[in-house]
Amino acid sequence: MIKLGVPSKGRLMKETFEWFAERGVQLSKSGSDREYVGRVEGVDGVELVLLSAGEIPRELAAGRIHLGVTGTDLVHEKLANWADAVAPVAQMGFGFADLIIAVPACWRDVTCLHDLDAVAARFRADQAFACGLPPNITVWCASF
Amino acid sequence: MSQLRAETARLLGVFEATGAVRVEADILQPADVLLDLYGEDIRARAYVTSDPLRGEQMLRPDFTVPVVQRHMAVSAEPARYTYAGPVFRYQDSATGRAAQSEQVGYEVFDRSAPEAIEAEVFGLFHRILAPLDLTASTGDVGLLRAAIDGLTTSDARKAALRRHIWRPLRFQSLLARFSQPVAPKVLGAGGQQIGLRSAQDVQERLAQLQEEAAAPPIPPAEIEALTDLLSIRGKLPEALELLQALTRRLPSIGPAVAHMAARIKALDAAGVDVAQIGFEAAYGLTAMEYYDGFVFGFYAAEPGWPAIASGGRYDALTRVLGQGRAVPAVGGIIRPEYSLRAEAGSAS
Repeated sequence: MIKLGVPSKGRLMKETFEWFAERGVQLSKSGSDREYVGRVEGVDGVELVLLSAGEIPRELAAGRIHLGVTGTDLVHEKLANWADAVAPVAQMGFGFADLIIAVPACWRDVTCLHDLDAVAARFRADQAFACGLPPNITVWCASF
Repeated sequence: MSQLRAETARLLGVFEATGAVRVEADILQPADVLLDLYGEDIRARAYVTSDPLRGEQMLRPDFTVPVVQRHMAVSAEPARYTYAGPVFRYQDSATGRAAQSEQVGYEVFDRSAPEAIEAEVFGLFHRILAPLDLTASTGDVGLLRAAIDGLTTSDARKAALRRHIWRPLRFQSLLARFSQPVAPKVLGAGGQQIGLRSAQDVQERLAQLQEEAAAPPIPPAEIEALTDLLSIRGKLPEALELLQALTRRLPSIGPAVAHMAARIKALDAAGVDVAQIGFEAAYGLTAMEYYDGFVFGFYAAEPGWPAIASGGRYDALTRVLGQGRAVPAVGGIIRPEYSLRAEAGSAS
């Protein structure tokens, strides 16, 4: 029996179910919303395990599930040396996160990350100066 | 365990025999000093904890900071210190390295000729590790710093390059950017003044950007010379020759190259076979450490092992921790767990 770990709620679960459905495998959550039991139709020998997306990497690494659906970021975060523990099988094409870095609009000079780096260094130098530390502390801060 | 204790005691003994004073440091260190020095990056590598009274604390990731603090607070130069104990770092790979590992260290604060002190520290480590059949690598961050200082470009660009010396990819991308004419920049629309950054700072930087827009790219010959500098590697005498030749194209590295020549002479005088010591201009640039000049490491052939010993010069760190007072400082650590394993390996 192959154990398939799938996010247990929300958009990720819905999109996972859709992804499998498009490939002829019907996944569903049985019973009430609070139960973490699932059903699999369309393929034999697969058991559905509903888990939080954050638990899936460790469950995979521990061998308690054999296939799992989760975010690449979670795999990298939760598993040291992840490439030795798990292997990506398919990019599923959903669940992307946008990282948005916002700065005050009054910072007219900051329109890219190079600007942010330069401004952060200036700010740091001013603060260090205000604290009585030599401005070159910024060299250190940025170095590490 | 008793073997490890014996090895640690042996190393401490060798260091103490040079006149070094044995010092201790708390395992629990205030996190703010370390965060100030290393930046938030260190959170990804060190164990951070907190208590309601003292705030954030860190399990010491190294001894250097507390030893420097202690020295700056109470002592005068010259001073030599030795210490031993566990340090704590996350390990991001399952290479079998422990999160808690032992270090035995030696730090010298001395205003004598810099090359003499560098040769003393390296020579001592070299003697201690000689029976272990290790490979020694050295580098000098001062060369790259000098090369950046000599570029035909604005101070702002030099500062940006210096800031990213320790991030080679970022450094290369900056260099590529500065080798092109400045692309026209569309400024933000502006808005209500919020946050700690002053309107004056924004104005100042806008003026700086205007200057930058007119700045010519760094000349291709200089970029090429800098790239050539970073690719220099070889045994010390060969590397020195290459660097001396490069000085014609990068005159600003002259003093740093002369310093390296003096160091090689001092190493030779200290009994080190300099023809056996490796040099890489880019050595130490990814190690995320606080060294700003001569750097060194001793390596066993086993894959996955950390350097059995490493060290270097860290003058700028003392300036930061000394609140304006700076001391020339050179030091290094040996990992006794690995020197023991290397010994077992070379005996078999």
